[in-house]
Amino acid sequence: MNAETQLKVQALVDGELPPNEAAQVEALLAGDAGARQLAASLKATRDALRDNEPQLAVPESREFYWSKIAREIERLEVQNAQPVPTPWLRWARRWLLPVGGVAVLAGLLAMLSASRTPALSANSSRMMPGTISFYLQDEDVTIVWIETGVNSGFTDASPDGSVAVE
Amino acid sequence: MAKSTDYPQADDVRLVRLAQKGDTLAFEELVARHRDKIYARAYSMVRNEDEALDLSQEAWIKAWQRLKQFQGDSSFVTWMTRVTINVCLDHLRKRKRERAESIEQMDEDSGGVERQMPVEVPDPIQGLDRQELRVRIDKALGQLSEAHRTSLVLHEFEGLEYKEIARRMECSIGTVMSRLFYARRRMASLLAGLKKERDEQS
Repeated sequence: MNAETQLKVQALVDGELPPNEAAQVEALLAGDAGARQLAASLKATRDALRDNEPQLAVPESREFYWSKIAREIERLEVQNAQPVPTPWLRWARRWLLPVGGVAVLAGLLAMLSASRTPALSANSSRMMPGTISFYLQDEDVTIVWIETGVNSGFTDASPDGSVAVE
Repeated sequence: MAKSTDYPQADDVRLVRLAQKGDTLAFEELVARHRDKIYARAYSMVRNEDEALDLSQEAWIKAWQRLKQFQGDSSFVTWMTRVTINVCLDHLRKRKRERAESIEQMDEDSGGVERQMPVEVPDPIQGLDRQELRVRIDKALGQLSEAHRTSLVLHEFEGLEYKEIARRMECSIGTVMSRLFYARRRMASLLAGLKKERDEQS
């Protein structure tokens, strides 16, 4: 008897075969003592198990066993009782806050870049001590601020000390 | 004045109806009434006392959450054992298979030693009282692999058909049939061996 036939005998015992196949396997059993013995063995094992499932007792007292279940049920009930955010509030939390944050950051960056004055630069590194020069890029004009005084070395400065140089 | 419920005297149908309305005392009575059976079913599947305790409690909690889905098509305990089976199957799926089990699977697929063994026709009831037989069946179940034991439990104790077992175990019907065949032959051999052992001792 091959493996396929053995499984068909089992399927017959379990009532899992369609009628035409069941009839074929029953015919086989009628002529094969080995197949009949296999069917009897499978049936006896099945019946012994079905009628005698092991019976075990929970190794904990009723109160202790229930207490863990009750605790978890209570926790779930508290969790489920918490108010669910309304749909628009959920939408706002999900999209508005991140987008708003990005917008604020962009605004700050824009403000910082607008406060710079790239058309006006100061350079005192190559001038004489006591002088500061300013170059206006748009007008192509350099303004030199000279501190006048007895020791400044300049005599033609304007009253406020500035001298325009082109 | 509202009539108080005598929970221990109430039948399962009434207790379920009360529990579905949120009565935890009714649910507690159901737990007390059926906890041993649920625990035994979980233990049959996982063969570990601590795991069976945890899984059976998890099954009760899931049952509480889904109680409103119970329509009464079957008995409460049948529905409850199905919940337990599903919890245990989820647990088993998460566990890694041991190398020995996959070798066993290969052996079974190739024909298996059990197919060539002489056919045992167990007569386990003879001379044994029911309790003793159950103890021996429990011992023999512990010697099966997880896959074979699960197939046996689902078919013999849970009464599921091949197709349903295949769905729950996520395998083919052919695999279910092979596993069941192997498990039954192994059980027959073990029970026959246990009986012989007993006869020799007496």
